[in-house]
Amino acid sequence: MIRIEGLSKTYLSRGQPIAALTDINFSVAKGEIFGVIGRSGAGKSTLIRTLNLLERPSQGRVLIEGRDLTVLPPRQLPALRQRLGMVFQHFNLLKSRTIAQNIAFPLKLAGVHSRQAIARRVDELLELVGLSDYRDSYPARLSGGQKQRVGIARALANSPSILLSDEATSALDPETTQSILKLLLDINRKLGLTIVLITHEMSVIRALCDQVAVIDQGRIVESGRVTDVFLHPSHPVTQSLLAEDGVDVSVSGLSALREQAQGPLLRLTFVGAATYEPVLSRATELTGLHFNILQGTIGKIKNTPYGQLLVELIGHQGDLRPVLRVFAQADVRYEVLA
Amino acid sequence: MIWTDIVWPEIGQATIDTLVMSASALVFTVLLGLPLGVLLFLSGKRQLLQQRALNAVLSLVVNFLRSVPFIILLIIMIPLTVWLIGTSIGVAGAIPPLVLAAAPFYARLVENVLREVDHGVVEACQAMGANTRQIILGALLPEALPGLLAAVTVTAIALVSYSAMAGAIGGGGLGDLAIRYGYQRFQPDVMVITVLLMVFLVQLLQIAGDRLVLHFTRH
Repeated sequence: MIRIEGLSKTYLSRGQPIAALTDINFSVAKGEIFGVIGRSGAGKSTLIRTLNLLERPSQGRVLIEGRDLTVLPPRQLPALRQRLGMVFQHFNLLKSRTIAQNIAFPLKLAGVHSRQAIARRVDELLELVGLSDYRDSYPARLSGGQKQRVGIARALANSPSILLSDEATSALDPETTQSILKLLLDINRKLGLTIVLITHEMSVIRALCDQVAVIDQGRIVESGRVTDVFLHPSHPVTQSLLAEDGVDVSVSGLSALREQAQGPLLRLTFVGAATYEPVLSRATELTGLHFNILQGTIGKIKNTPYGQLLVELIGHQGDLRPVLRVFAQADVRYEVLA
Repeated sequence: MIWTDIVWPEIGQATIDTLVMSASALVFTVLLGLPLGVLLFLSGKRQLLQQRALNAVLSLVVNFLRSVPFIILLIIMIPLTVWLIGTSIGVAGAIPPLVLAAAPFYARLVENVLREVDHGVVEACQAMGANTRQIILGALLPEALPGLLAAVTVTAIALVSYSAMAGAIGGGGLGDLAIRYGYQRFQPDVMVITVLLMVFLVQLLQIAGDRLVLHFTRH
């Protein structure tokens, strides 16, 4: 659906070239939600803007549905952009138009002139985002969350196959954020829409994304399935982003625990069905060992239940293999930390 | 002051002249200044039609016209005015110099108003596949409408006061009356009345302009 190959972007600032993006590669499958996370200034905004050529990359290819945007004649660009909806952090609605007129705007740009066709589509979209009562209001009357709903409806007007979301929830309060995320997930499922979103919040990635790329100083430093990156982060930036989300997997956090612990330390990670198994008590039954849980999170990444526990083995002597075998059989991933 | 000597019919005619001069000059000013302002804005740095050379030339012309004192402009314009409409005096003769003075002024105001439009809106339009024409007509100008109307109000008031100056070279209107009667014939009462009429006119314009702006501001 989307493939980015060897993409770089360099700016000239006072004659000096500044690399905003360096050698970016990734691909997004149809119907997938792909998240790019990074701190501000990491280049994620530039990255999402290259996907519809609001930023022209200095190098590399941007393939959307198999077509390379960077070699497309400029006249064909508007038509292609209509296949990609985009929502913005600050909504960017037209203040001088009503909600219905805002949503109708991209339809008119795409050459839909029949009043009935426009009205029908606008009504459909208003219903989809739950704003049918605000048809003739002006944006100034709406709350942030409602404005973003209009932004989403507008982005969907021409039935795009891809939705780009530029920090769509960053200007919203936590509760509104949840409802917007839910809406994005809904339309992803209902319409089979491919979504690429950028954010600086791990919680957004966890709630929504299938795949994630972590970007730092213009480079992708880590990427993969959200569950993998989330549970086994390898890059310090990923780890610190996770720490802000309440998951401390950093080495410094561990060393303190290591000093207090008397037995070996194990980190157990279970994803999916394994989460529902009483693995620890079974291990106790089979080996006679006891477990002291030092740290742990159990939750859901999108729809996948997961758990990660840091346990200290009590009463352990000698060989670890029998207990590790129990975990392996239960599909629990383990790491021996000390 | 002998209030009985006041030539009321002449004052009435002068008021009408001022209104005609200002209003017709305003129409041409907007017709000329609006596209000029849009072009100034669009050719500017990091804008849709960034054109350094064009922007520099337009800016120079605008600055030049705005820096010439209006009374001097009135005089150096005389040949051009005569060529354009056949005379350089009277109500008609005052209109070309008024337009040439006010259009660059309005163009600068337009440029500033357009700069105030959130760039994110332009970006959103581009992302929706709008071309430059669609962005200008569909987003930039409608979004800037209240500001553009406020700028028209400011320009209209400037035109009323410029038009009074046109009286100095026989342009007709309230300014002409004030100079002829108040200054040359020592009739300060006429001058007081013309000034009061001008104050009233300006007030009226400002109130009307404010209302219009409010009407088109979407809360």
